[in-house]
Order: sequence, then C-alpha cells, then structure tokens
Amino acid sequence: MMYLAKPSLWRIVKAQYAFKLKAHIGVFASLVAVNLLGIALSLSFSSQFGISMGQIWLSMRSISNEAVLWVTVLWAFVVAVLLTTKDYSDLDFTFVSNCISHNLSNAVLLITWSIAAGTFAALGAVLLRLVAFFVFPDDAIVAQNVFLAPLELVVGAAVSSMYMLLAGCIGYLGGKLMQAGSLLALLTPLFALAFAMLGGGGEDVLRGVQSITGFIMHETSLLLFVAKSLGTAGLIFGLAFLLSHDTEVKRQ
Amino acid sequence: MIVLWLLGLAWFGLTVYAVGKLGVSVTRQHLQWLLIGHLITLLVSPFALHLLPTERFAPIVDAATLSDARVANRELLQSALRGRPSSVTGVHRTREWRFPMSGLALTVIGAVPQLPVVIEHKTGRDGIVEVALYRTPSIQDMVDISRQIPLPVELSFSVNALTVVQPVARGAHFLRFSPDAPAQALLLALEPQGVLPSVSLRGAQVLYIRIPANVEIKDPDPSLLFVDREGP
Amino acid sequence: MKAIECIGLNKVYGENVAVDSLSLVVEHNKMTGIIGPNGAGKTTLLKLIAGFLKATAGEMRVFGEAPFNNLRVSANAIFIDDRMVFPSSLCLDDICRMAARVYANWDHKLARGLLDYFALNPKLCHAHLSRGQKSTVNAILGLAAHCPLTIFDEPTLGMDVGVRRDFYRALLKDYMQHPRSILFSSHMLLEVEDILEDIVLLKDGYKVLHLPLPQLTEYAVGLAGNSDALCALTENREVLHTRQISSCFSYVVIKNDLKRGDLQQAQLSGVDITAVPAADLCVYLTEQRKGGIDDVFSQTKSVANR
Repeated sequence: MMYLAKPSLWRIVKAQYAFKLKAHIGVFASLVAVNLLGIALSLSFSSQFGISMGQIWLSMRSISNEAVLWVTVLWAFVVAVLLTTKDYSDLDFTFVSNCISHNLSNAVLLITWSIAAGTFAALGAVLLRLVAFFVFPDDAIVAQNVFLAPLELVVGAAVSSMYMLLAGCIGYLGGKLMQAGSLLALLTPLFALAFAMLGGGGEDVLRGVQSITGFIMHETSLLLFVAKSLGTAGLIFGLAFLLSHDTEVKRQ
Repeated sequence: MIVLWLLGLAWFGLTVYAVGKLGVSVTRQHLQWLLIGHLITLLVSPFALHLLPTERFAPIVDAATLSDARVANRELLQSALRGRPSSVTGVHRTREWRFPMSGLALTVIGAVPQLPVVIEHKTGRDGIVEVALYRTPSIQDMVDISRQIPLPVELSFSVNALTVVQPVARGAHFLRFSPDAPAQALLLALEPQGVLPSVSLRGAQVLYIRIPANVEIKDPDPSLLFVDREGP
Repeated sequence: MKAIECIGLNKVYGENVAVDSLSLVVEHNKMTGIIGPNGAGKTTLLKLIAGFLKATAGEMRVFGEAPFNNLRVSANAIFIDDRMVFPSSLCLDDICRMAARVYANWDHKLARGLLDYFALNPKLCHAHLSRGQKSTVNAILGLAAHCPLTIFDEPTLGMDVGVRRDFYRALLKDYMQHPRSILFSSHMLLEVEDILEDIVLLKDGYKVLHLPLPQLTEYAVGLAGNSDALCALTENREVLHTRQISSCFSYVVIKNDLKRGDLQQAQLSGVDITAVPAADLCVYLTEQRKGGIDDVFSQTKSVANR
C-alpha cells in the first residue's frame, strides 16, 4: 500500500517558485523590451532649451532616466495583475498546491521580478548614457552625472526595486480583487476619491494622497525607506492574501 | 533622431513580418539568450562609459575657477595693454601664428567686434611677426563651454598685410544628464548637491601681435591698441 | 482505511444545485467509477474531493482531512482532466521534472516509458500538442504520479480508440502493481466496465447507487413479453425502464427482487427474463426523459395528423 506523503510547505513553495520562474520566462523577456522602450522614450522626450550668447546659439538638451523608471513601474504593475489571471494562477493547482503556497510562491516571484526590474532600471540609466552618446554625435556632453558611482547605482537599484515591489503588490491586490469578482470593491475607493475631489475638498484629498506617497517617497534614509516600502508592500500583499485565501480553483 | 526612430520602426516591422512569415516560433532558448544578452550589455555599460572619448566632455567648473574667470575676463585687456596678457590666472593662449616678414611696414586689416587687437614692439629685429590669441573661459551654468565655442579667428598674411577674418557664428549643442532619478532623493541627503547657479559668462579674447622693433604699422586703424610700456 | 468520506455534501452555484446532499464512502485502494449523464455533478464532486472547490454545506474527508485548501491532501492527490493548465514555454520533460519535485511517489521511468510508447517527444511543448495528445500526456502524468488518490475526470476525451484501449490497459497494470484509490469519471460505462471495481452512479447531483460492479449486474432484470402479462408482473413494482417493442410486445426493466412465485408466473405467461448489462442499467437509472426518443417523433406526428 502506498504511504501518504507529508509535504513540507517550504519545499512546495520552492518547487512552485522555480517552476513559475522558468515557465514565465516571457515576463523576463518583456522586461528587456520595456527597458529598451524606456531608454527610447527617455531619448525622445528629452527637454531642450537654447540661449544665445552673442552670435552663438547654445542649445542644452537634458536627458533623464525617469521614463525608464516609470515604464518599468508600469510593467511591474501589469505583470502582477497578469499573475492573478486565471491561466497564471491555475498553473500552481495543476500539481500540488494550496492557497498559502500559491500566494507565498507568488510573493517570492514578485520580489524576484522587482529586484530584477529595479536593477534593470538602474543599469538602464547607464545604458541610456551610453546610447545617448551615439544618438547625439554632435553634442558635447556636460561632465556631470555621466558616470554613476557604484554607490549611486546600488542605491538606485535598491530604491527602484522598492518602487517595483510596491507597484507589483498594488497590481496583485487589484488583480485578486478583480478575480474575486469585487470590481465594486476595486472601484469604490477610486469613486470615493473622485467624488471627494469634485465636492470641493480637492486640495485636502490631494494633500492626503501626497502625505501617503510622501511617507515613502520623501524618506531620506535608505534603511528607513526600505523598511517603510517593505512594510507597505507586505501590508498590501497580506490584504490580497486574505482576500484570496478562500478562492476556489475553477480550472474551466 | 527621426531617422533613427524610422530605422527602429522598420527593424521592428521586419522582425514581426519575418516571425509571422517564416513561422519562426520563439522558444525559451531564444528568450533566454535575449535576456542574457541584455543583462551582459547592462553590466558592461558602466565600464564602456569610461572608454568614451573625453574630448566630447564639457567640464564643470567650481566656484574658484568661476571667480578667476570673472577676474580674467575683466582684466585680460588691461594686462594685455601692459604687455603681459597671460599674467592673469584663467587666461589661455589658444592659438599662435608666426609669420616672417620683409620690409618695415605692416598693415593690419579687419576690425572684428569684441576682439581687441593689441600690438607690441619686440626688442629684437628678427623679422618675424608673432600673433597669439588669448581668451578667458566661457561659462554657462557652471559648464566650461570654451572648447565648444572656439570663436575661430582666421589670419592670412601676404605681402606685409595681416588680415583678421571675422569668425563665423555657429551654434554649440550640449547634452546633460539629470541625476539618477530614484537615487536622487536619498543621495541628496547623503551629500548635499545644490542646483548649479545660472551663470552666463562670455569669455573675453585678445589678439596679441608682436612685431619686430624696427617695424611700423602702416595707416593704423583707430581700433588697434598699442602696449603702453610705461604703465605701472 | 477510508479514502473518501462525505456526509450530506452540497455544492450550489447560484441557482444551480450541482451536488445535492450526497453521502459517500470510498474505501482505500479501490478503482471506482463515477458514472452519470452530462450535468450529473461528476466533475463538481471530483473537484470537491480534490480540494479545488469548497462545499456549500456538508462534510468531506479525504484521508481523514478536509480537502479544500489542504496541502496534505493536494500532495496525495492528482486531478487529471482536459483543462489542466501548463505553461506554453515548457516542454514535457520540464513538466515531468516539476511533477517529480512535488509528488513523492513519482515514477520517472514509467513516465518516460509511456511518453516514448505513445511517440511523444519529451522536448515537445504542451501547447503544441493536439487535443488527443494533450489528453494522453495528462493521463500519463496521472499514472506516473502514483498518487494515493488519483482522479481522472473524463481522461480519454479526444483520444483515438487504440490509444484509449492502451491507456485502460496501462491503468489496470499500474493499478495492480501499485494499488491506490483511483476515481474515474465517465459518462459511458461500457468502455471502462472491465477495469472498474465499484461504481458510483450520479444523477442531478445526488447519488443513485454505489455498488461493486458484480452486484450492479444483478441489480435489475429485463422482462420481455406480452404487454398485459408484463403489466400484471410489474404491478406495485418500480419500473426502471419500459420500451414498447410492438403493439402488444414490450420490454421492461425492474429491480431484481422477483420471488420464486413471480418467476413461475413469468415463465407461464411467456415472459423472457434477461440480465441487464451494467452500462444499459446506468442509462435507465439516470434517464431524465419521459418515455423514449421515439415518443418525440410519434407526438409530433399525432399533432400533425390532428
């Protein structure tokens, strides 16, 4: 007679994580495309202004890697929503899984993708400089912010990763809400916000939103910033986890 | 720039067309190579950046250099008139010419705006006219743009006549990078990095001509200046 | 040991009652067929057992534990149907390797052997397979996982007749070597009759019967003969099925509880008593339609004549 297996949650989560990481290689590949897209956007939306100095016309073009960052943040959000869609979420339940292992492996997956996306975004800033050098061959390059110090790169990657993780967790929560069929629950806060803004309290609401984003974005200590972002991300993910804990596997 | 975009679009279209037409299926291996390739590119780019030719960089000046440049700008002509154009810090001799001459009369033709011409008699009688262009740095928003706007002055010398040709006005294009956006907020706290003051300093320049002691300037133009040896 | 035990199980989707106060006990190491017409609640019951769905009411135990959201049950059960989700970027070999990581009893040699036998290249991608090939791969996964509870929900959809026969044979052989609880759902009993031990017959979400196959063949008898004689015989008896063969000749299926007297009476009135094939019996027991398909045509005819 066959003995009954006693699965360890940790082993199952590890197996699911490895399986999904391998299966969703397309997600990683899309990250490359998004990285290149961000660089292209940064180059084409560079701001430019001119000054005349006597008979000489000076033009100064500013290139910022913000487009790279925000396009990647959007990517993290979309990917997280995608992760909650049926085809992606049923994948775990083809083999051994329960909600806990499913959500845990998704969390590790999101963290991995966020770190990769953050690193890509930070290094994308360097690639952007390199590409700009060749795209604008007639321009002189102001020798400021050209070389990013290793510390700057590491901090940039860490901060970007946190942005990605936050965007990913928000996307995951939104996706789980939608999967749970509570589109209403998703829209209610948005509507409430919109009504509050229309109803005259616009500035107060804006200030409220800013104080929430400012709580994380305007942190000046790296350690505190990481702690705050991780805490917020964990909170959002925990909510998504609680929401989806009783979800049935439809597989239809 | 537009050409580049069109090229990119064409490349993208061709790729899509090829994939669709030939039915090339994108396998995991392809994606893996794409990923590895891009990652290597990203990791190599910080090092590749250091291999770029440095001639294209316009250096940032510090406050001391700026104030030096301001002083030099103000005092270049005075010190040139005293016969010591390079005695002020921040003044660069950018070009030099040497023309051998015969005879004892030199004609200097061509008055260029904002380019004073100072003439000094040498002590020797070697029959050589030495010309040098002195200038102080041009600074825009703390960026030393002297190299990019060299104000070309062309000299031609024939039969004891020195002609100064008006520089052709041209533009200079600069590219500047904003600091790494996400790291900015945090690193600003680590090492305060103020916004560069908006300064616009146009470099002054002087064409300094040394002629042999026995040579005289024929029909001197009123704009020509002569070194006052008797000065303090 | 009991593999599955459920008491008063209910599953409701909105208005639709998919499983209706169902109680069932399946002993461990049995090959049980879940039989029923379309919409009888077979798939819902199997998904409840696999822990995919949460029961609306009632109690369900798989190896003594509630299966919903239960990792231990999940690790000891595999659910095979034609809607299994696989990533399109992975090949069969990758999928097998994943199964090997999570299933303690995974038989890699068996999996490779079966893939080889059915001419399925392990480097192939699941998304590129035909419907029948997909079903074959899924069935192979179900066999090789050697799960204490193996659930096949209509596993042969799209398979060729030959492949289907091979699969039944493989299932039986593997079951002999590695006895385990196997649930096998099908709407056609005829094909799987030979390999099943027990049968659970479902209709409209409730359990009609749960019997070992030999008992099922003795469950009912068919009577063929003069309609009047049959009427007399079946009086006060539940008629499971009746079919008018000619104007005065009928075929009736009743529960096999005829006494000796009844048998004599039948013989005297020229009624033939025959055994009812299990497959036919299942159809009769779960018939929802009144009369036969012929009645639809005779009715329309009479309307037209009027």
